[in-house]
Amino acid sequence: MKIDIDMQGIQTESRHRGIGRYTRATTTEFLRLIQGRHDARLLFNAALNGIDEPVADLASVNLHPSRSVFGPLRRTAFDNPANEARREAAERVYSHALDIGGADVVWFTSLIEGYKDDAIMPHELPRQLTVATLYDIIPLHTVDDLGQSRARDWYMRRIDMLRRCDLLLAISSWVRDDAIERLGLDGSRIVTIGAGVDARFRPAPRNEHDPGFNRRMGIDRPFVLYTGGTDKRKNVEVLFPAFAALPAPLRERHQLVVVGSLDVPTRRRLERAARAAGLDAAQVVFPGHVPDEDLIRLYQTCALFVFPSAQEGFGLPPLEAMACGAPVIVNNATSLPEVVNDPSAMFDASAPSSITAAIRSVLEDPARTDALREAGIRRAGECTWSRVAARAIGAIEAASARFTGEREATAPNYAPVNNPSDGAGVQIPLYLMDRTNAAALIPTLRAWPGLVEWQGLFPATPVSELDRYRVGGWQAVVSPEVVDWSLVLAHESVDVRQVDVRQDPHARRQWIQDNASHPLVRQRIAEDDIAARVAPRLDTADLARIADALDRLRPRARARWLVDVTHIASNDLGTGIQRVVRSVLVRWLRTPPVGVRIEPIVFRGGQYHHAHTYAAELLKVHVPVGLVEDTVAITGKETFVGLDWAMESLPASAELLWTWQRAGVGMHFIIHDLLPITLPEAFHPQTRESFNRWLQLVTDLADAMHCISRSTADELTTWVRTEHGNRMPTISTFPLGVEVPSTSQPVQLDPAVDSALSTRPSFLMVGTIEPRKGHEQALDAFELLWESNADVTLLIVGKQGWLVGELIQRLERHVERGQRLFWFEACPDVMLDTLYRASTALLVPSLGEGFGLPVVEAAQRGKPVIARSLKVFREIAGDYPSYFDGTSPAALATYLARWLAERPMHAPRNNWPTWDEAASVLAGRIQEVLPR
Amino acid sequence: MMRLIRTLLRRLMAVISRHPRLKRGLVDLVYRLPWVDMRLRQLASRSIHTSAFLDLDIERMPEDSRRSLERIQARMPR
Repeated sequence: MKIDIDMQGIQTESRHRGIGRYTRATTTEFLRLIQGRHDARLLFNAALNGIDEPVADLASVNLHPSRSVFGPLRRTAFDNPANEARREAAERVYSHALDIGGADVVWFTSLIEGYKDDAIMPHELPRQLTVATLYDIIPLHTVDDLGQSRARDWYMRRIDMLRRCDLLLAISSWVRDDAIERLGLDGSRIVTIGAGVDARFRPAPRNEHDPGFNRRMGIDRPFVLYTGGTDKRKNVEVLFPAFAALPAPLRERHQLVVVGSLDVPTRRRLERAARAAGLDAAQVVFPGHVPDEDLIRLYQTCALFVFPSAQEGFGLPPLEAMACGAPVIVNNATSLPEVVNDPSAMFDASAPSSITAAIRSVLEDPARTDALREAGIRRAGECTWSRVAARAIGAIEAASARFTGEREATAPNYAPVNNPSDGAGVQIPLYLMDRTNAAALIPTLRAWPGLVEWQGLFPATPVSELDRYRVGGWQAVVSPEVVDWSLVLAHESVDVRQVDVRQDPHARRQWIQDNASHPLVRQRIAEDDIAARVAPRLDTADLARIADALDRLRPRARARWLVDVTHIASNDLGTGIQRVVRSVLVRWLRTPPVGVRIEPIVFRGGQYHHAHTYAAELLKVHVPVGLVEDTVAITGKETFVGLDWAMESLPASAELLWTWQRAGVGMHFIIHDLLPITLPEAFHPQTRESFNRWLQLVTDLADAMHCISRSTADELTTWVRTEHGNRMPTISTFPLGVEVPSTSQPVQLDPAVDSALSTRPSFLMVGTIEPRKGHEQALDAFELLWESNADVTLLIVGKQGWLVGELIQRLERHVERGQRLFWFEACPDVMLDTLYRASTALLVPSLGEGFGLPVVEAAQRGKPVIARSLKVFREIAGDYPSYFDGTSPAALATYLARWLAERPMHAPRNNWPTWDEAASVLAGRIQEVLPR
Repeated sequence: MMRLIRTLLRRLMAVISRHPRLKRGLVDLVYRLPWVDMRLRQLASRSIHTSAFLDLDIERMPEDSRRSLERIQARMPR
């Protein structure tokens, strides 16, 4: 069975009340118990908060249900008449979401939502078996108090929907009986599932003392506790005269503690009521709202818990108090007798003397206190969320077996048409196409998707680039054979049927019938419904939001990976990181992972757009005519890949990425190194700050972080544990690829360079000139070598980086420049290849690296490597390089002189993967990780 | 006012980026004033990467969403 669970009850203000607590606990246990038996999907509303916490909580107990987030459609709250049309349209969108979701059961965890917030309920009851949790219908007891208000109208509509549900899950028998009586429901449609109490609510361990706790709460003696709401039916004010009427010595030995969120007027009202009863400020304490851990301690340490509420659907606070070992007494009304299940623990709240007597009987009698404590713990032990969820599952399974079928869905209207926009009542055009009319009809089909009955052979003309992109993405642009006419027609239509002759009306009717539930057919019906009933009352902006929300519900055939190229697309500096980005991305674009479509995207003007221009440049093709860089639409099934180091743009885009993450988009980031953290002195303070902020954000967002070496992964793991402190995303590694360009013809070098390379030993350094690369130590060492008459050449390839102003001046003005010292700020790949091959050895005195690509590139060419003894070099290159230690120029000069004298043999080189293999490994790592 | 400052800053950055020597000189100069350096870099970053816009951009709607909108508009009662 597939079950959709509407989670809006933990997204609205209800999440701070019993409904939120009830929904979270029940859902968690429900999901745990149905594993392997049924599939569940959680439905969230993107216009509301409250997605992150429950999803994280579920993940923490290893539950990863699929989820769907609809919207956002804002400004729909019922209380504002100006929202009317927006709400009606949003309700139709939600109805459509449930309609095409494919579930057998839809369970609303709280239907009474959306008065003051943007919670959305469906326009019509879903076609599937519809279940709702029933907390209470207490407002119906005093419905006249609501007058002829919008609140009453809203409440009655919601009650009407409750009444029509196929199954109601009542949280107590009293609620069930009340609903049967007041709603006139058949008892077989309401099942009591009860309520439970979290395992956190338990008696205090024996030796647990916190002397500062009572002082923090304003408590200085044994106390009588109440916690809960303060609205009229909760009857809180009756506690003041009841407490005041206790015998003076008993009263003075105790305080009355009233816990709960209090706004200023309510607090004043309660304080006035306490004063009126003769209680001073020392006798009544109002700590306000307290976190659960404090509430548990209050339950555990109170002398008595008293609950005078006049009407409760269940009454979680008495149950929680009992679970914590508190003696509990409650009003003998509604569901409360059922909760405590002990006649001796009840009083009549309509008579303050009854409350006084009950309080007194406990406070003055330790044996009775102990008896109540023991009975309470026993009773609470019977109420577990697991049992509640098991009853819910049993009820749903039984109702499902009885469910006679779906409610009637609106049937689509079909007709063969030439102009669907004029076809009154026709939602689904039937296109009778063949070679002769295909070119003319396809634009209409694209605008008005319908069924295509194709006769004869497909056109012989090639598919346009734009159509190839639409169907198959960039892979199809560079490989035309991937997309043919049948795929184009299938992409744009509901379905394609090839026929030899159009003479079989029966087969056609059956084909039409088979496609009646196609998501695009259902979407067209929803569009027409909105167009006819709501659209004229909406402005274009609102209508666009509705259309966008509606369209994004449609399942897409292929997964999309959205690869962020914001920085490299605007400024490709040719850094090592950007070489990795290009190398991986170009391979993914040409040969995407199976079932995946790769879309490079850029963050611009506050939104992510398709980066078609960049993709085309990378693939060395032109952008298909008519392809615009529109904004990226999310369905929730995508994967975001932060392949580039988006340190500057991520703080701006993070808010949008959070909304994507909440919608279910998987979040993956590539981590090249942690050098601004591990080698802070080598970076500008702004870079350090930006990097730190970026890493914090990325760690919060990521489902997985993929590192280019094990060394980086180890550093990252340590950093997340010690500095981040929150959740630990999956941390994996993938290798970088290495490919030696197949240039058989070396480029012609400058004669001076050529002479320097051919007449004396030469050492090549490759990488941006920045402090950590060790250029300064190398130059100093070579000066020492030159002074000692060693005839060697130093070649430096790399752009000027940061914090190296003085070094650059030395390089530019050096007496050996052009003789035995060369600096190539711009060096094309073919020239670098020539330098690699012509030089004696690669020198890598870098103080820190995430990978060290030049080491591998040199080794691939069989060139000796002299490298600083870094952990990452040993990981990547093993024993191939000759390693040196020491940061002084003399140490390096001595090492180089000895190396030249000895010319040691290097160990065999490792076998590094190609870029094709590296891109494939990274894709595999991404596919291994489930989104949160 | 902020928009004007951002526009001017963006233009200034464009001019500077076309003259590497000028850029290097300015970077060296500003680096000696850490507080100014930090503020300028933050301002420059913000002027390039404007904050996320969470609503739908009607001018640049995704193609499929735009088609849906156009169908609804075409089917509205006249």
